[in-house]
Amino acid sequence: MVVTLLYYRMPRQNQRVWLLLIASCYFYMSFVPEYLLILAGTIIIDYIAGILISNSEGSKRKAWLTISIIVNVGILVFFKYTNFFLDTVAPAIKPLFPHAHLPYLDIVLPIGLSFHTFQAMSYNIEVYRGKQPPERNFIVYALYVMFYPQLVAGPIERPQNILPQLHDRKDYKWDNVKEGLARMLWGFFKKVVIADRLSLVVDYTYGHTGLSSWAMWVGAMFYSFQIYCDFSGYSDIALGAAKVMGIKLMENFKQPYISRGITEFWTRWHISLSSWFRDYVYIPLGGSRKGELRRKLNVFIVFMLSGIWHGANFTFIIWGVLHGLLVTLLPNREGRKAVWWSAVLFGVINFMVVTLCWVFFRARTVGVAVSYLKGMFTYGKGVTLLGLNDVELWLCVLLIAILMVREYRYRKHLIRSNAGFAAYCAVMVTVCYFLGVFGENQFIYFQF
Amino acid sequence: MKKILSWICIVLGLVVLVFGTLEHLFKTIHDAKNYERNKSWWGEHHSENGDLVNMAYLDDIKTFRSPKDYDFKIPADTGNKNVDLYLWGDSYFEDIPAKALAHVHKYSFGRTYYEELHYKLDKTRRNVLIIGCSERFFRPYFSYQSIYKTVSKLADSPSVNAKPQPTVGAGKAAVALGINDLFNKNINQNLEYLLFNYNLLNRPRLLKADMNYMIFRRGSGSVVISEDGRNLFIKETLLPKHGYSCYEILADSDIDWYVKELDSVYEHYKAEGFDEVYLSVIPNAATILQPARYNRLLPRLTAHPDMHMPLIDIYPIFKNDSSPRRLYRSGDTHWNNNGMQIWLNMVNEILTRE
Repeated sequence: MVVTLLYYRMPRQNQRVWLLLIASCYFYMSFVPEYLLILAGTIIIDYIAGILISNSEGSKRKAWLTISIIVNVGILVFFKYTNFFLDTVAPAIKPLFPHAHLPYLDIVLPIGLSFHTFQAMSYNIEVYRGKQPPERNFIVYALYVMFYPQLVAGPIERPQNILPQLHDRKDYKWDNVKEGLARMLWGFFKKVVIADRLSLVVDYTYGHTGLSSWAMWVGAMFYSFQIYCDFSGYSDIALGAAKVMGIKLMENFKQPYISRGITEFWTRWHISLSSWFRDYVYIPLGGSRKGELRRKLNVFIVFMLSGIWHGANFTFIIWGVLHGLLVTLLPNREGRKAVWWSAVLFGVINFMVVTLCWVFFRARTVGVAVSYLKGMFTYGKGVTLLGLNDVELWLCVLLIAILMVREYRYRKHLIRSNAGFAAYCAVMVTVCYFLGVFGENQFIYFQF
Repeated sequence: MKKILSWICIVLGLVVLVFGTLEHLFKTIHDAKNYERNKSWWGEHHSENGDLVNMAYLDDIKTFRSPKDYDFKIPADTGNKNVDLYLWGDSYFEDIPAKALAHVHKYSFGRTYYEELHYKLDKTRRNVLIIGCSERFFRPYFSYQSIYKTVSKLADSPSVNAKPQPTVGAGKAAVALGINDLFNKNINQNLEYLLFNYNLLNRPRLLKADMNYMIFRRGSGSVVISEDGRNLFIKETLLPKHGYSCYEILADSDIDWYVKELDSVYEHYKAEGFDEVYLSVIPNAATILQPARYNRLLPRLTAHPDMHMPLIDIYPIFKNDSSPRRLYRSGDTHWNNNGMQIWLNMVNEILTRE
């Protein structure tokens, strides 16, 4: 609130950019202050690389891009995957080198590393492709990487969308403020009322043994909605916070659970990441230009990388591989017209398939995921306990229904009438306060 | 008008941020809002009915009202006061006065995590050290803390020989601020406290807690209602994966590790000259009242063949009590007078032993 108010008090755009950059630095440093140095280092390298790429030709141009990508990927790999690599390699080399001691690095993952690294790479690739002129203003470029609403969990922005907006001075518009605030409230509602309430059931089912398959199915399905509300709730808050300042970020979700197939699901889920992989991995690999078999292989590679991007754990890799297999093997129904019952039927089937894949994403280890899946398909044993009473379970179902209807039928966040906006805010704040589950649940995607 | 209002909001917001960030400023406000001194509208919320009732704002629910009821009596046989007793323990033990302990000539208490306990043993007396701990803190304490630093010989204590800190002026203090002072790890809790913890705002919080309890049968935040609905538990003691939990599955190798650690603690203090060194772990309320998934940490420690440290083992007595609910406060993490009297009787029996 302080930053937004100050933002509109600043008469000149360069002052606003400085303000947002300082606020972003403060926000980032409030997690681990020292890590700002790492981020600043990559920003400086990418900024210089962008200018050098633009000023060079031929192989030099490619070399600068390669250096920039190596630096970004290197930092990402070091912080995110070193210990995973050591954990995996250590048992393998133990018989060969029984006395070898591979150290475990005591490092904390810089928050939002995967997001801002990808955003930085996107800039230099676009400059290399000639689709984006290099940004000469260092402060604007730094803000492009660090803009605080989307710094830690996306959306992963493209330079063409953000950089021009950071140069233009945005006049105060009440409609922007209303739309942004309404969207932020909707995001908070999704996070604290739905996601964190569903997490009570999910944590219970994943944390207990001896449960019936019904209880485990409920836990798994609730997790599908929990992760959606958690992540898309954060995106709504980010988009809303930016909108209040007149900045439009890209949409990250488009009602993914109404998809009729996995391919369609991936055009609606975490759009900024899937389009990043499409533009910077799938298409350079040849996309669909080199035959059907190669297309399938490319798709599979992209999904495996997507799994690895999510985290240093075999559970994420298996989750990515499963999605890769499903996308390559199942038919794409996107764009085909369908009668209502067929849309519902395939929507439900797709939701179930996605839910089964989420089990790997949620479980701590592959073993836990496998035993959870076994439990889901072992009938006639266990108790149906979900950690909530019946009233609250039905409330969960009602909240999911409200979510689906609201996002399918009433997507707009701008309420033109001031009285309507005031009433909406009053209702949402009251509902979030009284029905919100306030605990210690971080946003799930903060860990990536 | 809009301009003035926005500047007022900016200044207020920045003031709150600064007070939430700088720990000494926050402490000033925190002390001023403390419930013992400040009962006014801007004082902090506090319930006399139990720490969990306080945390969950369940003041309105009679079932959980359980004010402190400790009643300390002078033991019948005070006898020859020949014991110097050193008790190192947490909040379970902090209210116990010297008068409740038999045969004690000198009583020294040190509060885990907050105070140090230093001893200078008088060889003419019987020196007894009791290391007390609630089960919740047992594993975190012995896994991550070193008791030797905090329970130590008086001459060894760094605080005795430490030079007095020079008085630093406000200007110098500001210059001396490190980066970690500007990025407070507790910023979220501090801001929440500064923005919302006022008696004035209690009513909506109580209303929400009542609603959660009456409609959903659920506590708030980190407080959980027991399966029979008659007690409150702190959530972390029930989580399947948490260092404070009595439900976290423990491998035998974990128990071996703790036993080894305890034995070295025992050997250390015996070598320091203590005549007797005891360990006493007070079971979590959930351990006794909701034992179905208990990891059996305490009986496994007791039964371990390598466990040489003598125990003041209250677990079997609590477990076999015909009505164990009578031992704990229903809305608090601690035992009540009944529970504590059992422990005091066991300790006094040891102290009166010749």
